[in-house]
Amino acid sequence: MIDYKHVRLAAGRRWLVTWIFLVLAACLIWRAVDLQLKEGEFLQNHADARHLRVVETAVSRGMILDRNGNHLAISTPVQSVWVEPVEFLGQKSRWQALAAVLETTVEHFDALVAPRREKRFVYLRRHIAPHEAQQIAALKIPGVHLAEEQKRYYPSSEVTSHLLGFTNVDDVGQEGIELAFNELLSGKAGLRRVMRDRLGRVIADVERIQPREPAEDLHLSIDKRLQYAAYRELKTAVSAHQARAGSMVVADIRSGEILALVNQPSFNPNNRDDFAGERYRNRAVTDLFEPGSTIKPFTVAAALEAGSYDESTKVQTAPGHFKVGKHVIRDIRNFGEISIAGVLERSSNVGASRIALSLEAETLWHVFRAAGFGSLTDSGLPGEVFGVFHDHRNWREIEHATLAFGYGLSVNALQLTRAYMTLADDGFIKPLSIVRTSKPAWREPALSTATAKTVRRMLKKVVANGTGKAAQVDGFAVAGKTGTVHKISTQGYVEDQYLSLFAGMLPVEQPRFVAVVVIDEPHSGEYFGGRVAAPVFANVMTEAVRIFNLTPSEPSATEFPELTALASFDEVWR
Amino acid sequence: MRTGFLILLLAALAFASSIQLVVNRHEARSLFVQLQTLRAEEAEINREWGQLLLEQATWGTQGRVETIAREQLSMITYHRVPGRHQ
Repeated sequence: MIDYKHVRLAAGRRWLVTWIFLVLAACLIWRAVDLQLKEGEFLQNHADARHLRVVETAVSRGMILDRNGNHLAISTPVQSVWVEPVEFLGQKSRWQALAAVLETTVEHFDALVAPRREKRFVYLRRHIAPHEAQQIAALKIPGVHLAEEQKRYYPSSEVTSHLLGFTNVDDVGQEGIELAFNELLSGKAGLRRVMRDRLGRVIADVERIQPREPAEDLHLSIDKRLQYAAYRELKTAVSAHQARAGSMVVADIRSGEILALVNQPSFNPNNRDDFAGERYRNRAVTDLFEPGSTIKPFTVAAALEAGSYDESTKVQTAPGHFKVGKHVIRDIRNFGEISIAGVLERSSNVGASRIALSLEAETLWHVFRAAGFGSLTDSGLPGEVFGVFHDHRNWREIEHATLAFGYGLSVNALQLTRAYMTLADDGFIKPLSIVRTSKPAWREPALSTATAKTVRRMLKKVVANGTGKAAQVDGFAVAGKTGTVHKISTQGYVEDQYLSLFAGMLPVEQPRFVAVVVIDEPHSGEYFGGRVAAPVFANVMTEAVRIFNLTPSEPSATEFPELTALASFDEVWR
Repeated sequence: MRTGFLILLLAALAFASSIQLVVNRHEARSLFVQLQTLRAEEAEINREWGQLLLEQATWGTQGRVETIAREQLSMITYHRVPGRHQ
């Protein structure tokens, strides 16, 4: 029955089929091995390139706050428009609609994008308003995209502009605090590798390449209310006296913290159009001036430190002028024989020079150096200058004499503030701080406590009876010194260009605040420091004692006005 | 007999673990989606907070408060009362 011939044939077929399958299987296995081992890496890379992306986890810039936690600088997200040039250039028919939203012209787009055709990314407009962003998103023009960026806002605007500085369009600090503390405020964006699906949605975190370092908020030593008061009073005075510029610094004596720092003219940091170097310079830090009579307390301090003078020592200033070499030093009139307290009270140049010339140059130099003239205040504000104060070995006699009343050296407002702080803090010098702090980084003796107390007592008389009467603050004893400085130009000292200064502190017994007012080139006819700068001090300090709740130490001299405002009280609340 | 049992057990465990792997993968995906949603929500809330802070700071500007105090509430500055410091 069995046909062996057929069976053999069937066996042959079976082998054939088996072999075909074996060969095919071998091919498949070979291919699999080939893909996996030989080309595996190459293919994996390609797959990753399609699906894996490194994305940035954005960090928003830290906020800047005042000492009480009020916000002075805030970052909020805004949209920027960017385009893919090749695609965008193919959509010219729709440019008109986009131009209308951005309030620009089609030609502008062409000029901006056409030369950059090779690029893959071109910004069309940065930092647009939210409603514009919505309109652009609604247009759905291919190749036009929105990107989220941060924009910095300064709610206090002109009031804090010099102090805070500003950032550029890429959110990098350019001036002021923004520059000085840029690293701290910036933080560091994190980087992570993610897997994305075909539609570009992130579907898995693969790897964290760089951890995100959140930006820190910065608490300044500034008090927003006092800063505003200083800004308002300085601005009022600068415009009332038609002055070219002005600065004011207020500091807390106990900690060295700067409570207010303002300059005029100011600018609006939220509007990047009106930026001009002249306006955004932080004059209190960068500008040098000769301190004039405001340095006399240190001349007197040097005399007291030398031991050859005491409070009652008399100085002969008659006849109101005297010659040093071929130069003549003058007072505004003949004060006759006065005590060294009188030299400060009347602001006698002759008296101050006579005192200085009776001292060793080194003694005078030493006391001025100790009070911080010619050195940085360590405030950390950018652009701070050392000032000019020559070594005593290079002094000529005339320099020795004029230094006594503040000519021949230059300082900035911060330095003068710190020098007065040294008198206020019983002779201890310390750094100024722009950051909120409870105690200074260091505190070293510069003058003896007795000297500092004596000079303070004399400065109290300057405000009570002398040139500084306009600096009186109701309920508090003020110590301070006025200064009126002839400005130097290339032709030497100019007669009608002055600097009006006032530097002072209160309360005298245990000083809490020190402030310096500088008004540059008043042109109202008045230019004496006691008439121009001292009232600014008084007005700002009146606010300061109220804001910081200082207990009055003197009887109040003010008769309260009739409270006519009470009549309208009902109307307001009805 | 014992070897056969062991093989069966291991096979069952391998199967169970593969199922578990699928379940975990799925769970990871859905948790990740949730995380992404929450991140977006956080960003949105932060943005709103920033804008509210800005608004608060702008309304609370000293200059604005002073103007309202003077003009609407008829308040006066105590130290600017006539007779004190020019």
